[in-house]
Amino acid sequence: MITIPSPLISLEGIGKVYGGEVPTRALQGVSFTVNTGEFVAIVGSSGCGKTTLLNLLGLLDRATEGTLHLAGRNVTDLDSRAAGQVRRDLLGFIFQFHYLLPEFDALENALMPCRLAGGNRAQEREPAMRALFTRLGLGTKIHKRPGQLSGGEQQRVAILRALANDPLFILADEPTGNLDSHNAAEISALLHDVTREMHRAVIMVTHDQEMAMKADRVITLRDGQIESDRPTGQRPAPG
Amino acid sequence: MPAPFALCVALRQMTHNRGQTLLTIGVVATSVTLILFISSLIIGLQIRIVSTVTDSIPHVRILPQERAPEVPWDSAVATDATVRVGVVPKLEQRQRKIEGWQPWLERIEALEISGLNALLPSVEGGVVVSRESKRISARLVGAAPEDYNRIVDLQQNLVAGRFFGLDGGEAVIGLKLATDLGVRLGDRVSFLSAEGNRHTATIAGIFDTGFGAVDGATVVVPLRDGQSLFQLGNAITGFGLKLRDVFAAEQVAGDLRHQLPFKIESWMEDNERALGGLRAQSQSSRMIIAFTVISSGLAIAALMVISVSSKYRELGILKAMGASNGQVLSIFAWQGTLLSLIGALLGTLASLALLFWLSSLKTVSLTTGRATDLFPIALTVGNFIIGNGLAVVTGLLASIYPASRAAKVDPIVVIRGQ
Repeated sequence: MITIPSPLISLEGIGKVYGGEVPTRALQGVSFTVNTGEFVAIVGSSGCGKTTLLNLLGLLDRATEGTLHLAGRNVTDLDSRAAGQVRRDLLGFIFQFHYLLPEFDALENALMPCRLAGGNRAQEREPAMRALFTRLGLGTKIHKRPGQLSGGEQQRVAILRALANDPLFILADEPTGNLDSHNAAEISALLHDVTREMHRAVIMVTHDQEMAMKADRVITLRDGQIESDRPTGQRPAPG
Repeated sequence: MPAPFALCVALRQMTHNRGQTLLTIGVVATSVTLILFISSLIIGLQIRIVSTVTDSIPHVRILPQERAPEVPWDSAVATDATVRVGVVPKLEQRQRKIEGWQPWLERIEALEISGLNALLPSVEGGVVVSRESKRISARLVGAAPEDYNRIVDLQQNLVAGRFFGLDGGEAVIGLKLATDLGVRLGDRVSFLSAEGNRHTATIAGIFDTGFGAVDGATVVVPLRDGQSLFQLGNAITGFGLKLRDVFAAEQVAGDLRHQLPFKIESWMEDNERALGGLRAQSQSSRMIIAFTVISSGLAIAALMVISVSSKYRELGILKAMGASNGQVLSIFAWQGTLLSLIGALLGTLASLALLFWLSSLKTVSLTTGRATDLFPIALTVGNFIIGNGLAVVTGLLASIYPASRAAKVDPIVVIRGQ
């Protein structure tokens, strides 16, 4: 049995300054932890540093200050190759724009991270993914190409893609930004299921306050710093 | 074992974007067809030219050394300004010959010259061939017919009579020469040498090699008759060598110059202008191939750049999911290579069909009625290997730029939908 370290994610004094003629500070002294099974929403006004924080958590960018631990491993200064490997093995991404590959069907798109990992990973994970497709009401759409799916269905396939490699946590960037209220509610419920039933952590960046209140905890950023970090009451406090 | 990620994505993209795939394959196939057609035609043309020049002559000649011009009086005596009166023998009238040639023949044979096909002792000289009132200048060769046949294949090209077993007092002549003289098999003709000697022979055979210079001005008689006509006694005027590789002539001639006290000539120095033409032809062919390869490469690169641009967002997402630069780069490297490989194979099939059709076209000579290939096509395995190899390497190289652009896609930019 795999032991999942606690906290799963740990940020200590994280800062980010973008270089250039006039250096711009995007984040400063950001510290928080996220445990397994937590659904955390990061909110804030435009330009407050939400996306920068998500990029740092996804190892798409590097912090200029502080340390970042994922699953107990210090990943602050990983090179791009090692960062890619961590993304493949530990993280699942959900993007506002799902960008499924049009040449592959829904199941093949969902299994894409496993194909990236190589070996027989895709074949091993296929039965579990088929079950998830059925559970999300996509059982009959497994072999449909993205162009044959609705927007909501495409986003659900993108969520399944994020779960394909059985990641420890999921980073979601405005996952409902492109959806109508009905589909947005479904996606929100699905993310809840991921945390409650699959015991994975979800960190979601959103500007939608209503969506944020469905998370267990809301971290509000202001001018690159944490303004508040509060539970929403959706989940009883541990202990 | 499942196909590697990059190969799998490359194949899917190729089958999904059929129009673009077919366009790229078409560009490569057309280029390969052009390369194979041009190179087969140029090589065939060169083989024909070289064959025209070399099939009717020895590739290397061993001739007596040219003697230094002799002054008719002793130079030391000449300083006293005494005027000498007498007949000055003309330089061109002095015969150049190899006396006692049999030991030299054995010595040349003992050299074991690489690629030697035939070694022929012969006499050669200019004659005037006459029949009644008609007189035509020709080259008379005196040689054993079986040996001479290994230098110029007359036996296969006989249109009447015989060549092998030629007896004294008999001669074979070219068809054109026979036509110009108005002689037929069994007629007698006479030969007048530059020295004023006359010899008469019966036409025992008429040949038609297709080489105008041979058929219109060559007479072959037995060696003894030739020696008699040119008053050479037992001497010969030289040896002729036929080589398996005509282009080895210069090398063989160079080696023989160090080994024999004779003048050595190769067909290559005698035909420098023709060889220069061949070299220019080869250069032109290489330039055409180079421009074809470059334009094909640019077309592949352009089509793949479009492909990368249309996949920009998907590539960004793949990278965000953990695809390495190498994996993304490999997708397009595979595509370039596969498209080139398929295009090259189709181009090869198309060019084979085209070349086989062209090589079946014949043209018939109005004068001799001889049918020859309209297009001198030379199909060589080397051509096909080079043509296909160039196409695949070009495809791979052409894909490097678009592939490196793809590998540089920044997932952050894509995620933000910018």
